Amino acid sequence: MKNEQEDKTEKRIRFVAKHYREDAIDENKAWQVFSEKKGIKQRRFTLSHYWQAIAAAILVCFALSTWYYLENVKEEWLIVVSDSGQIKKVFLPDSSMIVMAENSSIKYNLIGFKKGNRDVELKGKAFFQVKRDEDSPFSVSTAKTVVKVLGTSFQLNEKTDRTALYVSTGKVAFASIEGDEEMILTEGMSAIYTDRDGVVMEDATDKSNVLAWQTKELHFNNASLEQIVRDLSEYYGVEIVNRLDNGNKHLTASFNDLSLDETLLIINQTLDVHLVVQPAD
Amino acid sequence: MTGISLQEFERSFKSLYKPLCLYSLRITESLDDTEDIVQQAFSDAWDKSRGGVVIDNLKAYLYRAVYNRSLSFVSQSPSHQTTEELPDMEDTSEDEQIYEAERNARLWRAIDNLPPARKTIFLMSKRDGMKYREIAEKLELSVKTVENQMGKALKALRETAVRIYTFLFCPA
Repeated sequence: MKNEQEDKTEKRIRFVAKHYREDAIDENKAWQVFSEKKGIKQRRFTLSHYWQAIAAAILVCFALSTWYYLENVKEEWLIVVSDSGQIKKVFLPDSSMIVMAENSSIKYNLIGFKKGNRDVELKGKAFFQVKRDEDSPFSVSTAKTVVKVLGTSFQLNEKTDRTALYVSTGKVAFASIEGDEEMILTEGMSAIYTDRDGVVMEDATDKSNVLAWQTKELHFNNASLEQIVRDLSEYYGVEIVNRLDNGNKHLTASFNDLSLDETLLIINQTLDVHLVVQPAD
Repeated sequence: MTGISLQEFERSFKSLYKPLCLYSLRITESLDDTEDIVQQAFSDAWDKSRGGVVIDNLKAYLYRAVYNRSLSFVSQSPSHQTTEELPDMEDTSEDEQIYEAERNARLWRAIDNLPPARKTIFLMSKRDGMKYREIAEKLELSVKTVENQMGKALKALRETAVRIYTFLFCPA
């Protein structure tokens, strides 16, 4: 019985081997021929569970990599806005500090920033104290100008028709957005960009009170009336004019967080002038 | 729609295609004609089914159809006079013949799955009737290697048979 079976097996092996041809009588190929002939739509995803599983795995990989990619290149803009009468202190991811004056805003791409693109956009006035990092320059752009620094502190004041820069410590490069030649400024220097001139120029006017909005202290050291009017207007955010032209007057005084009315009263009495707030148009 | 769904039909097609071919091959002895016959039988069953005819037992129907088509092919073909295979088939029952076709399909698949080199040696010997020495010369191998590879190939093929016999005779 067993030998007979073995004999039959040998016979069958011979029979199958005799007719064997590579890729012949393949049921998957045959089904393809059949379904094409019968106009049966190939349903890729039901061909077999095996392929279905592979397709699903590939899909998952694809989805994950897409998500990962988007997650990495996407921008995450962070905007900080200060209200009127509010001074805001902002610490950036690199531990640089920004002190924003009222009615100002800064904007930066958090993801880019963390990767070393230390670019900040500013509207209004702010003081920057930049953490030194020679590999990643820090830049601040306003509508019209760009400031590039390595590590320093400076103040930018953007107004409708001009942008003023004051360097507190270190060294900065200041240029208009058009990319004309950079002006290098060091500690204590100021520069200004005006729409009228269209270039950045050194600003030699007295800067004693440029940071007063932070310290709440106004210092005048033999200051001209013109400078007093300018600094008070800037500090109190109003337009001040002198209604009584009384010759060439100078003032040396300090005001520590006084109200506008008190300050004007003291100056008017001291210098015998008539400073008033020009009502807005 | 009556009867068979597309999925069922596809599943039947894929599981029955090889055994049906080997079943037909017993009669026609021609691989290409065999594939045509089996395709025709499936096509016929498909059209009938789409036409609303209920096919009770698709497997039995297909074996019957393939058998009839194979016989009529052989009788029409001038190269095939009365073949020696036919009487051999006739003394076994239809069920046994189907069973043999299924076992042969497994052998075919087992050959498919042999490693390429071993498959080449096996086919040179069993299909092309070459002697081990001739194979060794042609492939630049030692006769020992050819013997060795043949032994492994045959063992693999016999094992597919053994599994089936075990299932057949020792159901416990």
